[in-house]
Amino acid sequence: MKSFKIKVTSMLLVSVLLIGSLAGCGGGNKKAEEQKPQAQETKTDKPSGEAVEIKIPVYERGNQGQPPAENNYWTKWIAEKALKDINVKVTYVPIPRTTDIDKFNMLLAANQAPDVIFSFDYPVMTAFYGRGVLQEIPKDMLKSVAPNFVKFVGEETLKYGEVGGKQYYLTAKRPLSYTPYTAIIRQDWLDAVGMKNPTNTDEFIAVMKAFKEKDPGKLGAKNTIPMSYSLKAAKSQVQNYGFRPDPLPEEELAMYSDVQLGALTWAPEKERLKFLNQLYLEGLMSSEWALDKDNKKAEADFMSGKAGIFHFATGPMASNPPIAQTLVKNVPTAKLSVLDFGWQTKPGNKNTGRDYWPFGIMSGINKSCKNPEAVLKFFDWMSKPEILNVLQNGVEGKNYTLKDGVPVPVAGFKGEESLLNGTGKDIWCLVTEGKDTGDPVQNLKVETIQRAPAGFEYLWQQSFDQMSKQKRYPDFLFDKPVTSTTKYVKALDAKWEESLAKVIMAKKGEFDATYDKACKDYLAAGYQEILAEKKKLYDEMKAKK
Amino acid sequence: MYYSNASKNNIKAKEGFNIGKTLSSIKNDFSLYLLLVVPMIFLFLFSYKPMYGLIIAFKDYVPPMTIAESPWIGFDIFKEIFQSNQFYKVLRNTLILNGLDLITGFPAPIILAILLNEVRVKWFKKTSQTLLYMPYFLSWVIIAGIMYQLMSPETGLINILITNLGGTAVPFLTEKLMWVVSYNLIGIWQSAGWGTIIYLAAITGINSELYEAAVVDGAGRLRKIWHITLPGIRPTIIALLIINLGRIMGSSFDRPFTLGNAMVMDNADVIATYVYREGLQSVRYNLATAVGLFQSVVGFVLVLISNYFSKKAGEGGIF
Repeated sequence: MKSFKIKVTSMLLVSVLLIGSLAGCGGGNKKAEEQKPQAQETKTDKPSGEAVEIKIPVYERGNQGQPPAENNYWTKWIAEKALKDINVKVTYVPIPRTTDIDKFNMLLAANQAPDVIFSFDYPVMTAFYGRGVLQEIPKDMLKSVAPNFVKFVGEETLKYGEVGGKQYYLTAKRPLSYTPYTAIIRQDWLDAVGMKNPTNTDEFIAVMKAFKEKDPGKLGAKNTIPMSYSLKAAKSQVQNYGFRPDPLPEEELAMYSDVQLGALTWAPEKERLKFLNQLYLEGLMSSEWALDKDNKKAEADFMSGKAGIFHFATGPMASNPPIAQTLVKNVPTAKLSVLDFGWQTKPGNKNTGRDYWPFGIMSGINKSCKNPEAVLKFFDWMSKPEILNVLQNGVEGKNYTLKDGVPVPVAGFKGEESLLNGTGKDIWCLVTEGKDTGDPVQNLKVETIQRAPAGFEYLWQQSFDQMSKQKRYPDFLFDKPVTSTTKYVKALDAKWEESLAKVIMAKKGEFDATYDKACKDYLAAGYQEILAEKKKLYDEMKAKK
Repeated sequence: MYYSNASKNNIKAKEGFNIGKTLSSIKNDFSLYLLLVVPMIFLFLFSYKPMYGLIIAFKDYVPPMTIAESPWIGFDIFKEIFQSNQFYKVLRNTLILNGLDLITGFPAPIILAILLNEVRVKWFKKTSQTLLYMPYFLSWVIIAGIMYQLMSPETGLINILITNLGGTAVPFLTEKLMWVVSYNLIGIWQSAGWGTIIYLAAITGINSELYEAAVVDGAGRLRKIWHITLPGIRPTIIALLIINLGRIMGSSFDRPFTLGNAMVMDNADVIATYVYREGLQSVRYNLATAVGLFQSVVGFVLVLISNYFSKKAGEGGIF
């Protein structure tokens, strides 16, 4: 009797375990089934037809104090409003900003990618196109389904989204070609040592030496960091403009000017590295910069008042993270200026820089998307002024008040209607990079009011003025994907970091040998192949014309 | 009751395969076999079914294409891997780092377990044991964060101490060879305490009469350790050694990834980080799979070999 009881109990236990594990296996399907009826439920209160569901990506920047990018007041607002207006059910998929390509690839491999795949980088989009990830957007469909969008962005700009005459990317508008990726300098330190904002490398080194020797921050010479620096800051691939010849031959621009790949082997890059090597050897920059992968230590050093210069290396100058605001809290006497853009320009060279193409983010439609029309409808809906204005400004009386027709954000507004990261741009960047008032001066004003750190709007203006003085080149656009780039870009990225650490920290007299060795490794790790492919594509393009 | 029944049947089964007997033994211990089905399903779903994906190594698989649709490329990807210098570098680093771990990290828990076993004061033993395996529960991300705070060349706590005492800063994590040493020591610190658990359990299993007899014979503490404790846990040591040898080709990802930095990439880049970067991040899943397959095969062969030798030496092996 007892053994019978044990048997029954054990059978029961086993069956529970079995059912449990089987249920676990079937979990994926179940979930999908569960979601369907939900979609149908929402349908019931719809006036006409079945709501079409689309998934739209949104950048998750992981900034402190922000709600989840895919689930907040504004995504809910959009979901509700779009369902009512155009019968499209929008859900957002978070894409981590710093690993966006990886995330898209992962989702694609798992067949769970959103209906839209976007990137700010043209080569990234051509790579997706080359792999057959995107579907063609028939032009007549674009024009008939999304007339507002076409009108808003402009056909000229949309042309950049064509590959071989066929539309593949929906390019967003870029009303103001300006983003303050810049560096700031302690103006009070400059005043204390009696020097001017440095306009070339020689002047820069003189200023850095003065910061170190005269110790204007009264921190003790050992604790002063003339320039805070990080691996992230050194890595930024487009900093060698000040060492480039001007005018720059188009072929060199095509081969070496690339936001994804460091041009280690290019002569201007070598000169930049030599300059940084000198700064490092003379102890003029953060000694542990190579360990600072995400610029956080540089941020901390600058905010605590130990450093003379800070580079906005992880994102443009903005109200968040509060670099300038915290510095002034810690050191009330601190004064700031934008570091002259010429600081890493060879004496005698022209001050040049990188320009944006006249489009913002590029969105492609996923090949597996069943309802490209719904996606276009959504883009069309978002570019309507009545929608875009709300997304860009928020709710009148809460987020902003109108002053002379210009919406002025309410300082310190903390309600749930707060725009994501202060601007909500990650949500509306699908259609435009900024507000367009039709007047460039006014555009800058509006941008500054909304995006610059409060109390430091003048830094935005200074940075804009600096940029206006520059001669600027946009990157070369290849008409075909450079396939070897996709293959090697991550390997080369790791090599690039390694080479930067080695070359910039090369001992006195060993710079050339270290550099040559690094170049050899870099070429062997795939750069050679990429250069060869770029050259071939470039020659083909030239032959066509 | 069930246990004895089953073991009796097992012994019988060894004598030769007989369908009738097998069926009757299944019938007798039906509930036990049913219980076995659960882990079997688990094993099938999570260990055998994914093996289908191994064919990616022989295909040009780039999503959104499915695995079945992708064209076959034969051994092309293996050829590419074995021709690349980078692969040999990461292979070398993997072997060096894991080999060092084996040499220094494998005996560490044994020594620690014996030391703990000899501690007489109970509360001290318990407390130190708990403290010793605490680090095992920290993630490598946190450990790396702490270590960089402590060991950075100029802002690290340890180096500030050293320089203030008049010494010169030690580049624990920024100089290639020093990094290997630090990597190794941090690994021991993290896992040795945890490793003692199995040995302590094995030591508990040793018959206490043996110790009493040894005391009667006049054996001191060291003698007892040498002649009773160590031989007593020898089978455990051998089994764990075989398992660890199988892991020498494999490598954890988080430890080298978080502890490594741009300055020590020459020594810190291992197979796992290589696969992550050049396989997964670069959307070259066939490369990632091929390296994984290579790793598994080598690991498997190593286990077979060590098992063979351990059997030869009369230790029974693990299968």
